[in-house]
Amino acid sequence: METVYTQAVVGAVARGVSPKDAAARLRETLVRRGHEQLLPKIGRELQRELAQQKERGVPTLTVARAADESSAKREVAAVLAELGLAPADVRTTSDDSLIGGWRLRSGSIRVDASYKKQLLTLYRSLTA
Amino acid sequence: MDTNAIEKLIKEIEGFTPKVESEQVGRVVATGDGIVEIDGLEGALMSEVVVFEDEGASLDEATQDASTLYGLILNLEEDGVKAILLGDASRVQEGMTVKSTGHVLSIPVGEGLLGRVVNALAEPIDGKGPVKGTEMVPIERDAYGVIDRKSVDQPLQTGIKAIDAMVPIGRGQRELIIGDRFTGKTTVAIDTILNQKSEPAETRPICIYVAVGQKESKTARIQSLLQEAGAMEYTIIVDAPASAPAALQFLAPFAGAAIGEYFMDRGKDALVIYDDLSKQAIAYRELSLLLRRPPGREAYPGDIFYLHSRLLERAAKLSDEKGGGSLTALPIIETQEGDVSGYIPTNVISITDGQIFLIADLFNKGIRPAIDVGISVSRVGSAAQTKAMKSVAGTLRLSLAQFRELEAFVQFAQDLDPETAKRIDAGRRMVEILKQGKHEPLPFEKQVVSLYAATNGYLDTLPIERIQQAEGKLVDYIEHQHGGILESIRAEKKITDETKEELNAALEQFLKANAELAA
Repeated sequence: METVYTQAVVGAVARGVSPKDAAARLRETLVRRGHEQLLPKIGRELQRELAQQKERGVPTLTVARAADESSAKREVAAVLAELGLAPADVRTTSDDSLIGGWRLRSGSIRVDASYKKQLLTLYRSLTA
Repeated sequence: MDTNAIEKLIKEIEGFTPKVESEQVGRVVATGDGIVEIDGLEGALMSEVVVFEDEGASLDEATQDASTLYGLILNLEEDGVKAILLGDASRVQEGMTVKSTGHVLSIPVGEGLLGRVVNALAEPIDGKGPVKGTEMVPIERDAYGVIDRKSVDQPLQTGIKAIDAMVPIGRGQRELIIGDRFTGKTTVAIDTILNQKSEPAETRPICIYVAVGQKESKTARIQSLLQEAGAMEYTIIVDAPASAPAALQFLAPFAGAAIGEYFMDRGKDALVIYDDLSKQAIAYRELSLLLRRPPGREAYPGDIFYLHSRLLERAAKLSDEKGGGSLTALPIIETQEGDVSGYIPTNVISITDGQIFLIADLFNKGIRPAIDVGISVSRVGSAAQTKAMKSVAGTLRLSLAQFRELEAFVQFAQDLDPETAKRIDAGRRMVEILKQGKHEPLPFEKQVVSLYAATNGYLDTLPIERIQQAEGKLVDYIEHQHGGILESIRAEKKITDETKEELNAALEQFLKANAELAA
């Protein structure tokens, strides 16, 4: 039930209701229905939902080493243009398990040009 | 490693062209009880297969993963999707990446599956290595339409006298086997598989036994029995035991149907046994409740009828233009305390083309198979019977029905008129002749001989308690001394006038030679 309340609040804010008004209406509804004890759970759900939205909203470019960042940004420029993203919007992180290359993730789209993926694909085709 | 293998490796590596493509991905938000909530995957399809990946794993860890972990999307919601896991739930963690594959669940099917035991995803679990020579087909597909079918006209011999004589099953029919626990439902199904050994190889149906929610020991016993009888060479076992996740128990019958359809599409006959659909319904109820779908009657989801109807509609007898193949279905349903008016039993009764009721009372009285022929029916009927069987079994059902009525009466009456006494005696003999040992199916020509002897009064002089013994001796006698009779019935599928004369003479000789049976 806390999920339903969370989605209602998020939906209201998305439609233009101010967060303060949305919170006040939520509290009124909970009191009227006798569901005040759900407030802490709704709070946690909202925190999680906001974290997910933030995660979804920020395109992330992952490289194997920090030194590879500039070359990766050059290679990924065309992909960013296709996705309608500006290079400045992209957050960069490093993950040495990639071995080399880069991996771009924006919302539900992922483009993986890492050496790990290529090697794994080659390994699976050889062992199939 | 030999030079050929090294050259092959070099060739593969040189020919390898890395591809960079965009993929649809999501992230695991929550997991539990075999259900995964996934955020993202906006373009996901219903029943699409997804793959769980650990993005942070090193190359070494990724190559050591024994098998890919798949999921099946069953709920498309506003802010995410829910999927059921098709593997080990302990491998899934919150935050894991989930990749869309873009296609619905498919399984490998082919001749290579014959003699094998596989799970609900058609992966071998019998330790005999990978299955060869297969192609991938969707686990679910639409059933054939009316135009592509033709009427059921070929018998499927179960080897059980009571069924082949009075509740005959045709190739392409759906016949339900229903009864309480321990009434012999699985025995009827297994005996049907065993009896196909006596069919010529070119017309023998491929048998698929789908074990849903059964004990592994039971399935192992069945596999061993079929192996010893030489039946595994034309049988495939699909096993989703009680210890398997509900997702696999839900999918196993569909896998069985897909395997059967492979053979049907190639002009062959196939038989699929679903043992049992009650457990599939329970597994689907479990999944639906975990997916938060609204519960209906007895907490089953609203589409529980559709679950079974779309499965059973895939059984068919195809037209000659489509190859003339067939898929016969023998679903099994377990009732509670003989209640055939329950939700799931009535659903499946309304879908199938007939039902075989097994009654605990009859079983406990020693009447086995415990088939209540009064309420068992085959809607295909004599269209699925040979002329030979029709000629001996024509009045059997009516005679038994009359006997049952009189049997109740005789408990209270002191003196019976000769006609009534005669009918009761005949009925008791008929009940005795229809008894059959476990895993002792009888080829149809022997059934015809046995029933001919019974319905034409040749066994009337024998004490009732010796009828089974006499029947066994009679069948052996005919097989060894007058094999031509059986050959003629098998080939002609009817009792010709010459065969009838020969059979009458043989029966007279048998009774003379075994006079001690009548003593």
